[in-house]
Amino acid sequence: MKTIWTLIKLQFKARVALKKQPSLQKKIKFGIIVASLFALFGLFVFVYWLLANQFVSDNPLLDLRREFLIFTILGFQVLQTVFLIPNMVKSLDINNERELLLKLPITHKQIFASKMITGYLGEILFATIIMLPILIAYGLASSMSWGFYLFVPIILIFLPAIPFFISSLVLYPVTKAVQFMKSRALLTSVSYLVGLVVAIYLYMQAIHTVMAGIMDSGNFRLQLEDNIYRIREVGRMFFPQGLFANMGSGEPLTILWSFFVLIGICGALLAISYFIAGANYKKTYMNETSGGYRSISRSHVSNPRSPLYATFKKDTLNILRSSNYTFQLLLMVVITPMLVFFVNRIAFFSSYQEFRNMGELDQAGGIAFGVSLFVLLILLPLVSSFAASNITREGPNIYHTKIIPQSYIRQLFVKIVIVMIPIILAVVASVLMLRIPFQPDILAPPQYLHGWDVWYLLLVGLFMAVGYVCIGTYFDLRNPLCNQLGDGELVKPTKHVNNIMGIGIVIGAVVGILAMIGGFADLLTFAPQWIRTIAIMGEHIKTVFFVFAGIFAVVSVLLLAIDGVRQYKKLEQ
Amino acid sequence: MAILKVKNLFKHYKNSKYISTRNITFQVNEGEIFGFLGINGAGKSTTIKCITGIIPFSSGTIEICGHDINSDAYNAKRNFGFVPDNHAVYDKLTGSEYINYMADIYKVSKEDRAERFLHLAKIFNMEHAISNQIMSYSHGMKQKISIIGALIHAPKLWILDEPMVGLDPQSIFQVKNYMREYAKAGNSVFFSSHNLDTVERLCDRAIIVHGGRVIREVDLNEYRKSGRNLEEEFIELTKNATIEQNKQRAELKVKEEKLAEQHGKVKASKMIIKEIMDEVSAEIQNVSEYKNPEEN
Repeated sequence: MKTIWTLIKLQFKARVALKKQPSLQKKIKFGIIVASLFALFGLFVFVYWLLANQFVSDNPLLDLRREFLIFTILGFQVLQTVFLIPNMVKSLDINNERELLLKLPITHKQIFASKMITGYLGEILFATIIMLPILIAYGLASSMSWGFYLFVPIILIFLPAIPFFISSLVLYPVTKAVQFMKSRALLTSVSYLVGLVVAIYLYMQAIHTVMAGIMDSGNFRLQLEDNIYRIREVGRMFFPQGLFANMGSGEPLTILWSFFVLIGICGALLAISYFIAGANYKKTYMNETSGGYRSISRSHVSNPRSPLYATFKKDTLNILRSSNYTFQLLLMVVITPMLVFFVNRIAFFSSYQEFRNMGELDQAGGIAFGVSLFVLLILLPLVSSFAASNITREGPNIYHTKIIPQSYIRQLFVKIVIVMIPIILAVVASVLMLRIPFQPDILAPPQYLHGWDVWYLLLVGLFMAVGYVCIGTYFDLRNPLCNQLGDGELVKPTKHVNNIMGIGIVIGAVVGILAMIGGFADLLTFAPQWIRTIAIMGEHIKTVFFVFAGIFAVVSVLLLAIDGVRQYKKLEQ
Repeated sequence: MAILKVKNLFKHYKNSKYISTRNITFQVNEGEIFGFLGINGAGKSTTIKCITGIIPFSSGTIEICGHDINSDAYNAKRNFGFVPDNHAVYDKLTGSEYINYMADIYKVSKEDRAERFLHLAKIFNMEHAISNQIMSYSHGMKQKISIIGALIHAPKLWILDEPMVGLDPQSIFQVKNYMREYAKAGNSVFFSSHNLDTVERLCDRAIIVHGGRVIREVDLNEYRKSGRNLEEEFIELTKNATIEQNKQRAELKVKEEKLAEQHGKVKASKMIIKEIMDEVSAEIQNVSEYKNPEEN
């Protein structure tokens, strides 16, 4: 037991120890961050208090204060579980400290026990920091008696029990998945992307639902009694959280009964957690990681491929084996079509009613075109800017590209194609999104968008993408910035990447907004002169920008093709 | 037959107050191991970068197996393999992916690449690591995979920039042995080094550069026979040259300070650079006007 206690103390020291005395500037910065976080949290607690007041009523039929506490506790436990799983994986995965710990006269069971106890104590601390102000705000809003505050420490001690139990259940499979994915950058990136897509989808869907609700206010009435009944039913489903909430019931018998049941349940869950996690601990975390060495054989010799294919494969692998680069490149491919669809749908729904009332439904097509162009032009530079680090990403391997018997133009071509493939997919998918009806019975944008508009978006999207990619590569070629840290990957965007994004976003915003306004220029006959002037500009921006995009693409390609090789030769490592 | 011919090589980096290489001329013959010596900043790496096409040079010619590195870069590059001093290789590829990539670039047939790959992996004791990503390799292993990559197309000329730095004694022994084996097969090895002992034992000939100039060319076979000591000569030569160089640099600094008083720091710096560039141009002009009696 003494050994476990010593290990616990060591772990706490390791977590809080400062490596060196921070400078005054860093202390001030830290102080400002902490003060800002406190202010934000204070604001959150205040909003919570206001919200809690809404659920308090003298009428027992309408009083939902118990349910409010149940959902508060549930929300916190969900949050704690989300943070706890990676924390536990990180804490138990002792690869970094294995050699140090195994040199000491201690068993793996003692290490495990100390880690579990340290982990649980840390979670109590976390629960106290977050939940103590919230529970006090709840107590004040709900006019709780002193008995409630007496039980608050007990609530805080047992709150992490359920997250701890859930975490220990999923710990082993999560660790296995993490170990599997560590060496698979593409899988990691795809997992992040899926998560992001789901989040964006839910967010956009929520906005759409709220907007639809506002538009259709007739059916948006709160059916109070029915809702209260449903909330109570849902509340009853969360039995353990209900036990926590009973601490505020003010009835001695209920409190006593809930207290003992809670201790029993939480104690049992913690004991089960300890045995489940402990059972897998040794084999998962304490074994040496296998190097996986495989002796050379003829199978390692691949069939000859063309130098072009070899360069393409090498550059592709260099991107796909970096979760950072893969994510950057694939992010916009997935996000662009989604945003084109959702932003269009929101804009369409918000303007649909107006246009219908005015009997000018066909004007909605102009809005759809403007919105699509806006989204496309804003997002294109974000994904195309990846090309502005085409040369910089080579880092110390730039010499390789210069000593091999492979023309510079061919090597540049490969780099551009690799960036262009996902961009073309993004543009084509975005345009295809415009062919999907928003809602089968009401709206179908193809009815409002002209065929030429769709081709326009496709061509302009491709022209601008080619332009950004070639000009980005050219700038990077003229002045590559070997801004590399750690494992040699770029960890922050270079100035060329920032320039392409900045200029592109400004162009996208100006052209997109003008195109949107130009979309309903016919309806602005009675608007002030300056608005009509903008609308007229908006009508013409379409043609002007098409010509601009075409020239931009051609000039960028020519610049890279003609001067690119000279710049490549001039590069001095 | 000359495998590598460097003639009147000048290199001045843009905005630099010093000339990196001045009129460097030498040649490496078939079957020869050629050492390239000099203290830090002497111009060794710059010369190697010019030879391999990594950086452009101000004037002069470089021919590899008769192919000019500027006008016939493709064929010149096909005839050498290069191992840099920074051991940079594509970290995200596995050892075998990297070697196959290099073999594809140099259009090596499957039979040849299989034979060379297995042979070199065995020689450099890399047989058990080639399936792993290069990022997991040690410093020495990276150097060895870089060597295998440089030799997979069996180039006539093998260029190495300070190849022994950071290698363990066993690896140094393997590299040195393979250099001998490679030259014996009729190829040439050209490498820069600070290790005078290695150069003395391994090389047939060597040149010593200092301040961007060749200050001595030595026949090491003769040295070995006569019992002369390369290390002592190198120290003596470079010491005198360093004294001279420091004197010149001090004079340049005084001149720049005087100019700075009159015109400001930025303009003074620009004036000095222009003066250096004029000096380079004049020197290049002199070299091009000079006709070697042997050539006539």
